Amino acid sequence: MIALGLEGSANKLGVGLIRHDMTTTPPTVTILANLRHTYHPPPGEGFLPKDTAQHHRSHILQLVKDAMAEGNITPKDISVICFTKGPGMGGPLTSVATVARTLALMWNKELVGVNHCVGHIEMGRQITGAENPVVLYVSGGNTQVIAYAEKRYRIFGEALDIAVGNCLDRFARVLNLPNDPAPGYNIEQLAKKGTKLLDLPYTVKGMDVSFSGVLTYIETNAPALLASGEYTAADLCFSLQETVFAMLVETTERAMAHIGSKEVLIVGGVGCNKRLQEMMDQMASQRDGKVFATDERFCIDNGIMIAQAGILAYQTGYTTPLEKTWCTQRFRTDEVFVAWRE
Amino acid sequence: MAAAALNERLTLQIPLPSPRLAKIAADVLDVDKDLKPEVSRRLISTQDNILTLDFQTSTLKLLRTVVNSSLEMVQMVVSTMASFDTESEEP
Repeated sequence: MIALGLEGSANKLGVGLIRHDMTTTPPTVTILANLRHTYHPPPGEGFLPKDTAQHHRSHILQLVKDAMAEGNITPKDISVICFTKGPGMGGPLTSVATVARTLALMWNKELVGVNHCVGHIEMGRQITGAENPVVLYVSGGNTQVIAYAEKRYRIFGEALDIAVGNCLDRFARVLNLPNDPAPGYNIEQLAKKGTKLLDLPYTVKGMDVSFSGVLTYIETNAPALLASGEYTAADLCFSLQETVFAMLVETTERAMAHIGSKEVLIVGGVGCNKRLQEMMDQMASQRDGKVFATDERFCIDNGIMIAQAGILAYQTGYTTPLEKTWCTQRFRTDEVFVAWRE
Repeated sequence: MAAAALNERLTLQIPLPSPRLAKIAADVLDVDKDLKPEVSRRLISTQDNILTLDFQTSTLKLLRTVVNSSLEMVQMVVSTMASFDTESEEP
């Protein structure tokens, strides 16, 4: 069976087509197309809901056409249409869901509304083959430490205020770094040239983390520090990354200790960061464990993860009736009944 | 406190290529319910190939907002139909 997946909860618009060949055990999974178009605001700015929604509306139809052409798929080949129900930004989510609904009604297909976080997890599992890892889901909009137990992805710990990616993205604005390809990517590159570590607030509260304090601190003090010549922009990027990533490694390790896990799966846009992967790997090796990560095709928001999580649910008989295909900005990861796992 | 009177009104009648497509558009749009029905309401109906949107709001500003966002979604539905409708291709 073939699923079309549509994703647009933040500034990345993704369209994916995935095939599950049900004649094998387990089914053979093939990615037929995974296309993305990203909305980049000018340096120094963040992306606002209205502009982001407009970007998605402008690009989604061509992206769907291109994906179907690349996968050599016609509407009759598609078994189910999956879309991001939430969490995320309201206007962008609804713009994409509107297309999903229209296609489903025109082509007479079922719809599956997918939780964005579960999409990341299921694609990470599929690509890496990790058995039962502690999942660190880190992006511009989300920061959660997750582990699977009894049909749900349980949130062991999370950011109490803003996501780690949001902290990084907003600091990038202070430095006026470009948003293309992503502010976090540009911070990562600049951080590689940093040598001096600035002592920054470090906030871990049990299983949870907090980033608004370190962001306020570095936003407030960066201009003076840079002007004094004591620290370069590269030093500040380096210091921020070392600090926030250490916080994430600490809480991930705590979760591993709690459940006795030897595997860490990092998903979400911040998961592309090589320094984070390196730090996590150092911790995991000390515990005789292993880190799984994917590349930017799957780390960064994409449509294929929505198709994957959607098709897994669909295979258990799950569909979303039309009247329930509304979108929601808040959608907890543990709200989803993970029927497709033991 | 008295409920706000929904005195600002606007009706949009949008022709679609067929009754089937008008009904699909109505069903798609109607999934998203009014965020604040006490001050802004939208009623969706069809008659043959005409999609009708009836707006009732307490202020002009709310009327502009809800009409603008509805039209953005209508545009999305209509262009999706233009690009991807398969039924019109069948003999």
